[in-house]
Amino acid sequence: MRIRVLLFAGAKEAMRAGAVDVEVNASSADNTVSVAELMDSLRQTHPPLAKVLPNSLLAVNQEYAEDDVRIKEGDEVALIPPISGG
Amino acid sequence: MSSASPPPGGGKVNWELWILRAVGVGVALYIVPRWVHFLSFLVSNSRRPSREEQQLVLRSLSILEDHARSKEASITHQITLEELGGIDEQDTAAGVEPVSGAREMPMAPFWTSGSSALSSAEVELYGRQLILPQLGVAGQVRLKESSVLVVGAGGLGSPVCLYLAAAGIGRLGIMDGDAVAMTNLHRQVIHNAARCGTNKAISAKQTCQHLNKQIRIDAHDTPLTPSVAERVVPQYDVLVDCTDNPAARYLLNDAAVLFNKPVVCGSALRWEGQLWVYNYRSGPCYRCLHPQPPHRLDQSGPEGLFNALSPGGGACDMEGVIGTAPGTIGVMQAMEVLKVCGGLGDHSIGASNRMVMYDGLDAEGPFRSIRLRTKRPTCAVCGDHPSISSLQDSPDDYIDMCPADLLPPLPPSAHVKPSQLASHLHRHPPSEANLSAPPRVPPILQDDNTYQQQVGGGDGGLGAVSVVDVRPSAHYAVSHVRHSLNLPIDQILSQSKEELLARLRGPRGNNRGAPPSPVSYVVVCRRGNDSRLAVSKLRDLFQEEADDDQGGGGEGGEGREEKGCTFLNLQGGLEAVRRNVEPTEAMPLV
Ligand SMILES: [Zn+2]
Repeated sequence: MRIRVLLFAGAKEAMRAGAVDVEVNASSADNTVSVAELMDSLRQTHPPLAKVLPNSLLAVNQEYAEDDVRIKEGDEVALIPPISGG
Repeated sequence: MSSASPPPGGGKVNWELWILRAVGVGVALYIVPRWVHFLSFLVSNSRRPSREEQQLVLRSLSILEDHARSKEASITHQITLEELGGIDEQDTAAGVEPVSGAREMPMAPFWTSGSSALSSAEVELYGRQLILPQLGVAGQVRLKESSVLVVGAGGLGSPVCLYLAAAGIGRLGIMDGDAVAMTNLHRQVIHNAARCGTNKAISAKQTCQHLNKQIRIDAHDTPLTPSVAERVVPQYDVLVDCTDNPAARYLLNDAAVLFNKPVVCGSALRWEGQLWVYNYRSGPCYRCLHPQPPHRLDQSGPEGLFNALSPGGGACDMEGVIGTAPGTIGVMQAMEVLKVCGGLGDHSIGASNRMVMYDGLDAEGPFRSIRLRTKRPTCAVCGDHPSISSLQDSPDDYIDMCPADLLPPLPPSAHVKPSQLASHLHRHPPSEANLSAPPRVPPILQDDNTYQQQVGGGDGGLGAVSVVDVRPSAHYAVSHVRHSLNLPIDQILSQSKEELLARLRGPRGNNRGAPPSPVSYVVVCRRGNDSRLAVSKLRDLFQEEADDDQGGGGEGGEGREEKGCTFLNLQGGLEAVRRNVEPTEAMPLV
């Protein structure tokens, strides 16, 4: 399953792009992937993101998502690292 | 006919005509004034007195009454000044006048205020906001009775302080340990060029007190530390996080949880910003959302350390920021504070537990919001079994990650003093001529396994010097040491030995490459932290043998020259060199 991840702040800066597409193997049962699985894929397929992942929020459909939340085709996924500047 | 000829009628007066004229004049004298009166009555009743006319009347009244009571008033001023302690000598020098908030402006005898809690001056000052039905006099009184601590008087703190002071927050605390600098002013608009060198909290207080004399403002001219937080945070109702580093954010969070204060949290960098309200109405805290302070992340090797220092992908002070990004977030922070303090908490984004994200470059939708998680049961400070129960429990989390203490140690001989580099560059200004000589790759870089003959130097201990600038290319583009090589720190840390070798040799054509026969690569950045990281990696890659041989070489130049090529760290960075340059404006730094 291909998931488009919108990038913000440090994640956007690290990839120099506003979004990345990730291919993740969906579970056959309901064709979804968990947030944890997506994070793993991101870490492997997009190494520059590795440093921002541990502290980032992942939002699915504009809502904070825990590791076990399932993502389905068409969901809006956003990776949001904290910003520290002021 | 001459003018002397008698009137018609042969000398007989035409009485009828004269009587008619007299009656006409009489009627006109009677009617015209009445018409004028009637018309003016119509006109005067067709419009209400303008706002200016009203204000003029009110002001004249209050000025008259002021004069009548001037003696009493001046006594009240002194008492107010002493009691509030809101004005210091510095303010007086800056022209800030004593607080007059405690002085009740006497009302006209026929007039009564809707609330005795607001003076006429306050009613006039806040009138346009207190007629909002959602706020009203009651809300304005709540603002007046609120105390708010703004931590950080920088890009976010500037609009926060200005709007909170203007809106009539009764007691405003402003905390900052830094001094105003020229490079701040594009975003920190509460300060000005004349205040460079002044503490930011004091400068912000001066500006705000000019804006509103009715409120009490306290400047805390200190950085936030655990002991400062323990002393100051309990004095306020609401905290505003306008800090600029993760350590201060974790410290403020823990203080907020321990002393049970809501925090209106803003942050901004580049073109973006984030805004949320935490520790509010049983919602999550900062650690619930971001459990791992940056220094707890993997720090193995220079790269890990760099990431830990700069979780957002850049080290301290290295990232650009457009002034209106913190400006936008700061204005929204002030809005949230006014709602939380003014009795409109149901309308705050804290009530819906949302984070607002702003991206000034997003044409489709610059504003977004996401619903946040609830409290994390395992949270270290607000969870079910917190491991942090005082600000002394987790001191490492509160250390600003920028200090050089965290960086890998280098041998003393691997450092260059700023004065040393400055005088060297003065005596040997880098020029095109130096670079047009036949390219000669330093021996150590030709073949990293075998040394060839060392290349001479012996000039003030530095010898031939090639400057490697590890700042981001945008910074380098603004200004740099002539003919220095720009090799940004993130590239040094991520590129292979071969790639770096190619970069250090450089494409000869664009004369950015290594000058002939360099003895020393002096690695520079703004403050000497990133260059230190870079030198560690470059020495690891290219200089193992040099270090091995260095045993009895002693410090300073002699030991290095024998090695042919070394990597040296400029201590204190270009900022320190700049202090050796007169006038400092001749060397602008971003
Ligand atoms: Zn928490």
